[in-house]
Amino acid sequence: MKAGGAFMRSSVGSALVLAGHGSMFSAESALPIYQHAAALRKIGVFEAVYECFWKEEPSYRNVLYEVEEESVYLVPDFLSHGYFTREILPREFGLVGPITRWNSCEIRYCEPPGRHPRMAEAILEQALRALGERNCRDVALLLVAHGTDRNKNSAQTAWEQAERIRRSGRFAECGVAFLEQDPCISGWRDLVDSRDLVVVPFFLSEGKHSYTDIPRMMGLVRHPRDPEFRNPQATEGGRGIYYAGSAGMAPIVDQVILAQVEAFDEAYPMA
Amino acid sequence: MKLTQWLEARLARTSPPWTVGEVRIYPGYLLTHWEDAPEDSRLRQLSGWEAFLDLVRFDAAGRFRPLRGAPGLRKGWRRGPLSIADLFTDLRVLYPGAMAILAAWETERLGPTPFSMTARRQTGIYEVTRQLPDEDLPALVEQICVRGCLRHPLWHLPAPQPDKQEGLTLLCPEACHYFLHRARARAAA
Repeated sequence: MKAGGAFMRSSVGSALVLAGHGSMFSAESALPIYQHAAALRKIGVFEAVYECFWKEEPSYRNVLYEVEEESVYLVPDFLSHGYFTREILPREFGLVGPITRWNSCEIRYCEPPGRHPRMAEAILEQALRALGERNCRDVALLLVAHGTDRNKNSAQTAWEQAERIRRSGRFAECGVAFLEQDPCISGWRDLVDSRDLVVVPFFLSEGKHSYTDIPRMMGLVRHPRDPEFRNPQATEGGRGIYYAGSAGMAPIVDQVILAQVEAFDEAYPMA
Repeated sequence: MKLTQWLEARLARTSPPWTVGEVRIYPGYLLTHWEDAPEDSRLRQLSGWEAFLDLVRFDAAGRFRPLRGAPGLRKGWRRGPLSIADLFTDLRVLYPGAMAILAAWETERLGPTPFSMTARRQTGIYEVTRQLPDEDLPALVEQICVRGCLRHPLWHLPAPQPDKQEGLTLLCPEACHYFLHRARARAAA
């Protein structure tokens, strides 16, 4: 985030509303939203920071009763555009476009953090943490996203971030795989040439996909919740796999959220 | 009026201790489970937002509580003394949105949304809730909202009579996702 400048000025008297998905079954789903909100409160850029959820409390419908600031940056805490950012959030908040008046406040609807170029830094952060002392130049980074044939945005965002990592030249190569579309993660052996690889789940939070589904589809013996889990895991072909935390759990995502607010102000300057 | 000012004035209208859901607020803004006594030395002094968030998100058996209004808040803890701003924040963690909604209700800025309207705007997996027969609604409200939640479903039942001695009422202006989830199962059946 730039210090000073237009962004800092526009944030005086403004609130940040982080809209997450949440879950009725998994406590972990909402965790990154709470963590991002807490970190951003501590930074003090906004007068107030509020969390809200589709499946937990407060709901998208109720959170605005709590907001007392005149300007509200609404950031969908998602990794890509899709059903929730394009349909659910606009409907539940009554959005009419990038800027919406609601009673006495102005809602400024930002892009999801996963789409920002700086999200590549979050992916790198998680990969490097998993690698520890290991030099990343001879290791492939494999980004694993959900993907769905019903919405191309999810995959598109992953491909864009992978391209940024490729261009950075930090890793030997960077590939992309998906849970529910091609190229499928079960075929990981053919997706990267390097002997060793670091796998970064492209998800906002930890959960069934990152802890269970990806390791199972890759044929890993241990999953990250196994007490015996250690990096790297050896595979039958002698390849070493380093398994990283989900991209959305990287501390730098707080900064990516701020970067999306800044990008919004650049696109739609405050009157 | 700021919401913290509203809360301070609202508390000053009645005698302490004040009850909100399953918690009690004592003068100086000490917060405990309503069945605990604040002077009990066995209570664990909770500090830090992570510990408090954990307390409200999991029951005594470690099960996740997605519905904060559901009874089952753990006992054996104490918060405070708190400033009015920190008290407001704690209440927001305990019962998200509840104080702001009560303030909106008492200042006539809150319009409950009938279930038919909530169901009508659903898409995706909750679209089926539009098909919930009207005659099934009262039994679901009784089971999920009346017996399973401390919030008063303004969207279905008449507004509670204001009884200022009974503490600050938790209000629900619109069917929540937990309700939609259950209504979906009923409608699909």
